[in-house]
Amino acid sequence: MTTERKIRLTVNGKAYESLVPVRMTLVDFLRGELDLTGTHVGCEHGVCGACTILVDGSAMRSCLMLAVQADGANLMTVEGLAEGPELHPLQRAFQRNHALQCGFCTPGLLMTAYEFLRDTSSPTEEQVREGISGNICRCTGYAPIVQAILDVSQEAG
Amino acid sequence: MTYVGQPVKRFEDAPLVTGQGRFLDDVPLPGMLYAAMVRSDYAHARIRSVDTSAARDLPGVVEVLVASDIAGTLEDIPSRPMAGEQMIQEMHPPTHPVLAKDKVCYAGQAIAIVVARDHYIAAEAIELISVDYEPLPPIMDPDEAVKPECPVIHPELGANVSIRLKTEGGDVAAAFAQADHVVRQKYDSQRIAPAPMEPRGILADYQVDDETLTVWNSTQAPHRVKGYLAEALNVPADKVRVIAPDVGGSFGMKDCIYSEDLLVHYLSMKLGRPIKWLESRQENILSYHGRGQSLAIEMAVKNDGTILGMRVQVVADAGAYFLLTSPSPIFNTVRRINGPYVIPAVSVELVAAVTNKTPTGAFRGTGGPESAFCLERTLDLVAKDLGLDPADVRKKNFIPPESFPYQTITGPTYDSGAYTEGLDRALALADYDGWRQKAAQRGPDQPAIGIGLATVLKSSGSSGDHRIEHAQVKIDRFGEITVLTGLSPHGQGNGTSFAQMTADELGVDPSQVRVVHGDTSLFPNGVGTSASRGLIVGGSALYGVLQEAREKLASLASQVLGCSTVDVGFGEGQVYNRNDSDNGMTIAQLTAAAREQELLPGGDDTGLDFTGNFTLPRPAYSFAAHVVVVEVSRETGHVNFLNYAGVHDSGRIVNPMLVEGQIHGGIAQGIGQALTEGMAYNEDGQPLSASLMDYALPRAAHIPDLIMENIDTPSPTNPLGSKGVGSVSTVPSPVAVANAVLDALSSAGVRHIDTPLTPEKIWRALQG
Repeated sequence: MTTERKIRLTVNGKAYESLVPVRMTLVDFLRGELDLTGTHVGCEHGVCGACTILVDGSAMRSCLMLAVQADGANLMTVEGLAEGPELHPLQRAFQRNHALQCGFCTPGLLMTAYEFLRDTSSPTEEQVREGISGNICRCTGYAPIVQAILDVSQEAG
Repeated sequence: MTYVGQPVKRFEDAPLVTGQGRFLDDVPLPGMLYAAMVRSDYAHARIRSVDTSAARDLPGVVEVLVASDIAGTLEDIPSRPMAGEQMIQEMHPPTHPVLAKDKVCYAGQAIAIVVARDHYIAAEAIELISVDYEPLPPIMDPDEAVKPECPVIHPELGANVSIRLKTEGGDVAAAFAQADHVVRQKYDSQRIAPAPMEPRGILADYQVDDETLTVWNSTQAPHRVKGYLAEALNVPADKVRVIAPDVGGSFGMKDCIYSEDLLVHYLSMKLGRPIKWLESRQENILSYHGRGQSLAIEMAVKNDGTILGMRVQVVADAGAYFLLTSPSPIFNTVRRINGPYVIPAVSVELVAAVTNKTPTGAFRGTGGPESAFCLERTLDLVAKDLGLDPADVRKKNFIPPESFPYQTITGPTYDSGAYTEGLDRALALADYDGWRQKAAQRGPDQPAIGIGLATVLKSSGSSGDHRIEHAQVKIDRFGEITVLTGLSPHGQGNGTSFAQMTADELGVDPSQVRVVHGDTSLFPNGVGTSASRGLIVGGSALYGVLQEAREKLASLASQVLGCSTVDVGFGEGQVYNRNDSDNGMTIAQLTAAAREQELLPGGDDTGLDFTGNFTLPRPAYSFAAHVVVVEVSRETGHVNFLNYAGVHDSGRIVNPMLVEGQIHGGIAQGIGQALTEGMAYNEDGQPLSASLMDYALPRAAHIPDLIMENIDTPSPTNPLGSKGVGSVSTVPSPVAVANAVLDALSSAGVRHIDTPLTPEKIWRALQG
């Protein structure tokens, strides 16, 4: 029998309390229970990076975590990047550089890039390529994504 | 301001970067059930029995179906008819059963479907279904499969052969008799998983009350899905609505009808409930492959590198069954064998083998990369054998620019091109001569430098019923402009390029144009996005309709402004009299004035509604020249890119940013094909690369900086003068990279390694 557990967590600054099946993945919880459908599932085995979110500030694969493991955590998803109508510089740079085509991998890449730029000031192109190497994009060939991230680091620097 | 030709930023992006996109799994319906599939563990086995009792007893399971439950109700999955093709010697495609009956013929083939309250219960239920298999020896090698003595997978076919093609032109025997030199080589174009980042998905909602079936399908072609569903499920077409929501990539694989397409809708009708099915990544990797051909060539040349003729034998490893586009790469490889060269004598024979593997079909390039690999690798071997520069060998054989339209010896006719100009530009961009010098200076203890070229054509716009597309332009009483297209873009950005085209014709800002696609109820006619046809076919349809809209607006303006129609101008959001441009009016003001003067009907319907279509008379041939420089470690076999330059002729360009995006993405896929990707199987027919841990898609660190330029020889096949760009760069990139790697290895005596050129294969080859 499925059992359920109560969890409390913060997502994009908002507190939630929810009763969840213990076998529910974190990404299913975000998408199905909180309607935060910006986080995507591309491979269900932690390889493609489409489901990347920040858990207590660290980029994590939300398809590899159970919702109950996020009890007490502070999460940030792609929906938390923009401040109201004001896009985050990364979101603007992705659009400006044509760093997305189908857009399915984009939320995960944005969250990976967000953590990367927070931790790496003035990165080289090679560092950016390494930094996003846990995220797969099948459309763009990566160059515009790398350029978008470099753009933002230069704006900030 | 002219918008066509400008890198206008995409209108598609804002929702996608904020998490507000609406992909298949983002569409919820109340009371929705979830489906999951039971699939074959074996490549080849008889099914003795399927026990579904434990699954049916699991709380939350609503329905379980096996083949016997749909017998006489759901027919096998359709494939594309290719009747009338001259080159067909034999054709009897094995149709794909919706659910396996008494036998499974590839690992991953659907055996049963479960519907449950949520997807966790559905996943649990499929584990409870027990299939009693009697394993049969799998037939994995296509060369063995087609031999007369090989056991036959589908007895009704009589042999493991689904298609035989043959085409010939010129005097091939004479060409070989006159040859100074003959190059013989065989190439394997390995199976590739298209691997869009969003796997396939379906949401079916049958409303019992009014007998309507509404379908959300992650597809390239919603109108085609509608047609097939109506027929297969025996539902009137006007009761079926198919919506393609945001689609997370496809590259060909979402252009077919699969088992789930028929089953999920059938079950929604049977149960009267909405049902969602989402493909897992493993299912995605096992449901459909591209490429999978071997090509053996003999090329007859003169000592100066002139091609006299060639014979090519193709074996297609087509897999266990045919899906809709399975014939496409098979026919295209033969059609496209000539490349951009004058080849006076050509003979091509193809046999498509039935094997115990996943079905194959169109994957970005569809026969183009396969045939180009054979021709372009062979030209490098010709150059090597004769001591010539590979660039010179290509230039010696190019079709000259004054020869267009040019009919090849096997039939296809090319529209326009400037191949020497394109190659020369690519050589200059890449600093070809400089790299040749650097390569020559490398010592035996340093990583070897290799330089690879490829100059190729990509037929765009396709053939048959693919050549038509439809468009509509509507202007409402507020002056709002809506463009509807039968295309179904899934990342290409036609929402932006079509807004640019409309803006120029009607004198408005592109942001004022709403582009609608992907819903058969909003726009009834469409073929979809595939075959590099979006702009040249769909865009040309829009172009024609825009001319009508512009003419009608000019006629209204001439009456409202009191001037001649030839004096009516469009620009800066205004319609104006060119002789009195200060007194222009917006389209909204014009329609309001026209209604007041009873030039237009009152009410909501302005009558400003224009619909039309365009049929591409023949394909437009895009050209590409790639120059790749790599260094290869002698210790590890690792390949490192030193330079990558390319020139593309895509005819007239509407949005250069979008064109570059298509080209970059295609090159990344080509690099994957050359270096990292490929389906692997063991001798039991078990797939070894059915996860993204094992199937090596290129990552950011694998892709070099790309230096790209365009040349522009307008195509006379369409009013835009454009050539398709969606797949063009997937054609040269695999072989340009392979040519570079094998050039680096040539001093070590390595003549050929099959792709993917992994460090292990390279290292082994270097050990001799």
